[in-house]
Amino acid sequence: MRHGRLAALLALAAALAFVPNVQDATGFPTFYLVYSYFLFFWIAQSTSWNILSGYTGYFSFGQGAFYGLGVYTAGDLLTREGINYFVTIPIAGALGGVLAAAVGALAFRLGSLRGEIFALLTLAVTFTLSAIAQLSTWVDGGQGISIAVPPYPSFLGEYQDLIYRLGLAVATLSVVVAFLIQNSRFGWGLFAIRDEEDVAEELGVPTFRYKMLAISVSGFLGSLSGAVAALQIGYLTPEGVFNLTVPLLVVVMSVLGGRRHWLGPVIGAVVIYSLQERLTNSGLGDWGQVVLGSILVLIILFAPEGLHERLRRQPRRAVASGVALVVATVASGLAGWGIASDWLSTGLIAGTAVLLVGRPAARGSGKRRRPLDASHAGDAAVP
Amino acid sequence: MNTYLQAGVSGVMIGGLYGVMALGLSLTWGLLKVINLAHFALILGSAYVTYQLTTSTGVDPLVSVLVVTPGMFAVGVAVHWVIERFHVDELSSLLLSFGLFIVAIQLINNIWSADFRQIEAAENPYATRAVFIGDIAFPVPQLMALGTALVFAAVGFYVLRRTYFGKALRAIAYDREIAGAYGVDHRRIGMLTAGLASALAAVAGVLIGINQAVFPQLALEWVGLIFTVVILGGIGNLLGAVAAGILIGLVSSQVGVAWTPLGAPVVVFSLLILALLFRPNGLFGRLGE
Amino acid sequence: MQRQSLKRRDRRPAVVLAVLLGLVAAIGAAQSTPAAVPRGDPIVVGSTLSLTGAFGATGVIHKAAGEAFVQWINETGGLLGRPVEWKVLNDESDPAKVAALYERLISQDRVDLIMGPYATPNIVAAQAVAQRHGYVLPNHTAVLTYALTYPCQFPTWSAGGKPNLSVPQTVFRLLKSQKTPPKRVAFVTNTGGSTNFISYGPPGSSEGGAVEWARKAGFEVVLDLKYPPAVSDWGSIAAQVRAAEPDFVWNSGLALDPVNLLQAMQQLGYRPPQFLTLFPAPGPLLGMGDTSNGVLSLTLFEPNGKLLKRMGKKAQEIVAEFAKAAAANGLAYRVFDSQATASWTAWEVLVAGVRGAGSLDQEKICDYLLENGTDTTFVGKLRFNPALHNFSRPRNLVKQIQDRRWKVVWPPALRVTTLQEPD
Repeated sequence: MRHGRLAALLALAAALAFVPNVQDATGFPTFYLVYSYFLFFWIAQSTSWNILSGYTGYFSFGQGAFYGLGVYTAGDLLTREGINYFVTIPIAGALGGVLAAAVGALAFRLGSLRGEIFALLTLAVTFTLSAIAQLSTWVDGGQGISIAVPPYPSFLGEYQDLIYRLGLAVATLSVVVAFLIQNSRFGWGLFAIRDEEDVAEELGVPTFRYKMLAISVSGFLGSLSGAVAALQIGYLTPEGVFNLTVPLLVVVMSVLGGRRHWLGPVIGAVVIYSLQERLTNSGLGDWGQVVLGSILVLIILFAPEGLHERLRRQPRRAVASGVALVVATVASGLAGWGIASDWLSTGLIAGTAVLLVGRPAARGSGKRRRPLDASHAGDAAVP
Repeated sequence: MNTYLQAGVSGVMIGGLYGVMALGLSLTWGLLKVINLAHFALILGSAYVTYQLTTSTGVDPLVSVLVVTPGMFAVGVAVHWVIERFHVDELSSLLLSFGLFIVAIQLINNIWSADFRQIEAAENPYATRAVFIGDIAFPVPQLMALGTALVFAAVGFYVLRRTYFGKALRAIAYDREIAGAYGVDHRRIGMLTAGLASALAAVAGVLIGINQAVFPQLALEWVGLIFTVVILGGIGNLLGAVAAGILIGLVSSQVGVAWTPLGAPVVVFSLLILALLFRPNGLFGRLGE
Repeated sequence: MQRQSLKRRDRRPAVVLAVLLGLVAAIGAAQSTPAAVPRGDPIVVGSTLSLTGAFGATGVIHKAAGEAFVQWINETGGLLGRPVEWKVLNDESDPAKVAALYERLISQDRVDLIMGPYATPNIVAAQAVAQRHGYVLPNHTAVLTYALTYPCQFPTWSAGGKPNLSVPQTVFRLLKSQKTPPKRVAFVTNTGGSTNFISYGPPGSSEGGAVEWARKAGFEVVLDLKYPPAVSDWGSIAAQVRAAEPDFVWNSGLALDPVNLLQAMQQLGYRPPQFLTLFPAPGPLLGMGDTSNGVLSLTLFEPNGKLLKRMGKKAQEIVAEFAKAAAANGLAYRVFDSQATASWTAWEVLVAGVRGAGSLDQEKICDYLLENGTDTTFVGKLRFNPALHNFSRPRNLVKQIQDRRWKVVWPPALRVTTLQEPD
């Protein structure tokens, strides 16, 4: 079954790769390619974060570090050293993996308060990288870096096709990796670490090695995605690249989507990004962000375990949600509310709302208030 | 030499302001296990109210404390009530407060626009004044901040160590169920603490409003710095937060003179990394550990 | 006494009277006929602006200016006889979003024309999209001139193609014109994009900027300090400035930097004899009272009484319209100065291009503008020089705070009052 699902994923990705050709033929707006690129970007980033933080429970604040490292590696190697852009992408990924491994080596060894320290360490690393970008003129130095479109083989299509395909490739890679990990012994080990690390150790899970692998993969994918993003952004500045958007949004997307499964971040990324887009361009103007924040609050309150869990555990509600999605999409399409992507967004919102209504499925399954560091729950000492 | 000294003094005092800003965050994080990003929105909101009150009525900016403190206290209690009611865990509390943060910042933007707002010099008797000891200046707004920080931290320390309330709070932080068995109502104490933390944010906001111009984006600029202060000081450690703030201010200023102000953030954050590796509980230890 | 025919004698005054009446009627008719009401399908202009985020405080000024312009043009006959509609989206100060939104405006919404966003990173991001689709991109606030390589982008920030050279030149000329020119100069630079560029020139080039040219002009550079965009401790910077004992402090700074710096210096009991700042938020600086008296800055235009009177009724009306739009957008500072001027001028360039080309064809508009340049209400005649990335000759005005107001003090041809020199 696993092979079947994997094959389906790859087939889907391959099919998607030809959408730009369809666009050329039918002439639908290239905007949809750019929109899709952003979906791929957030899928990649959230999945990358989730491989570490969702699967192992080691919550990371540092996705911005990997992302920023990827963006600037590609940007600097391209503009300062004249290295071929396509070569910079894997280099960026590799550097991301190395940085991640370094952080892991330091954090995972010092065991006392594992969970929280790790999160704070990743945050500190992000700040430090940002400060370095501000200071070093090779990296940036403040004036910013302009990224012109590099020469590339023409079969990849026009610019919008190019970033679409690159984004698709990285997203596919991330999702496939997450899928494979989840269905492997390695993944089982990670889940064991998340649920009860001490017990996992006793059971013979090589926790240190597994955690190192998880974080390295996460860093690699995050930076890979960042390198592709450099091309889309067009003009890099330290404040623009190292702000809080990426680290916070990937957490939101993964939590909303569900952290226990590779589909979770995908769902979360699609829903949150579509929601954001819908609100920015809805004409709500100044109230868009208010609505967005309010929805986020509602989701956290009513579906803290994530949408995917809900879909899985309440199949009837899942069907209802799917129906709501289709109906709302078609309805807004007929009513002419905005453009096609807006109809889909409206559908997603409706579907999500149906899923959210009502009490969370299973209370008490890990919903007790636990601190960030999983280890603390283990030692219940009497005061 | 004089420059280092003056810069150091400035650094220490602005560090006091960092400390005041960090107190509330440290309190809720350490004791209630809630990472409250909205804390920064409360500070900013209080600063805006200070601006508006002074600008509209001409009253002394410090008077705003009387208005914002109870207001923010209520907000803090309300938010905590929601967190308790829905059994929100630590990670989710971060996201929840992030949602609230977004809403608050946008509301500020809608009310006051994205433009800069600053109390006019004529109505702000504190902004440019300083106390002089010899040649060294102690600017008044920062002096107020430092004083506030020390007083609150000392009071907080005393309360946490010596009063029933403080002990109950620490018991909840350590293990809520067992504390409950001893008759401690974590809900009410939690709300009271959250309210106090928000009140602290309000005071920080008034000090900010006196010291500088405000704009919606400002809250985001604080996040990195104040998180660093909280972490370095030891999460939940109030005196530690103030000490860490002062330390960061001092180090920044000296680096700024000896090397370049551009280099100060790199040094501070590198120190943070080192501190996390070698003193994971913060330089001054966490609360109760 | 010759008696002329009564008729003839009576007719002449009557004729004169009739002609006069006719003239009056004609004038009256001309005045009371409103400008032709634009009709037909609206021409849609698309753009993004940073209405929230890091650039929000200034982005909103451009929103007000744009709204005032669109209202103006619709009240004065429209564009090619058609009403103009402005579709502006919030890019949240994020270049990635800028690119995506311009893609949407152009390929999805199929807007007829586009206008540039605010701030260089966003303009460069928009430029890439505009170039791909062949749209003319007028823009108002790009100072990083070396990054603007698209032949059909038209900038209106009038520091010229090399502000790192033209701005120091202007300032030093002013300084040297004083009775006692300063000798010791301290530089305090914000290392963010445009301010960095003016202090030090483009990266990887030997052109240099204000710091180097100060030395070449014979000043002694007693301090060369760099600070990151988000500084919270101004005290240590102020302490260093005070210790350097400059005659003149040059702050390549942005927004609130000069306010914070001046306040920090005042707290130390120190006021430098002269202080210049590049791109301040003008309102807060004025609100500092005595602390900021005499501060110098650069501008494209200031609506000072004399200057405005010279420019005529149209300019005065525009200034008033902008104040209304600014108030509607909740702005605290509603004066039509640099940012608003650049914005208005960019819109004028767009409209001139369309009218000159007589159509909405992007290529024709671009060709027309490149060949003819355009007249503008506030910054004179613009000629787009392709060798200098379409920048015109530099036109840097220097303004100074006197009596709590910004007044243009340089160049002599355009000033409304003389420079207040330090005592």
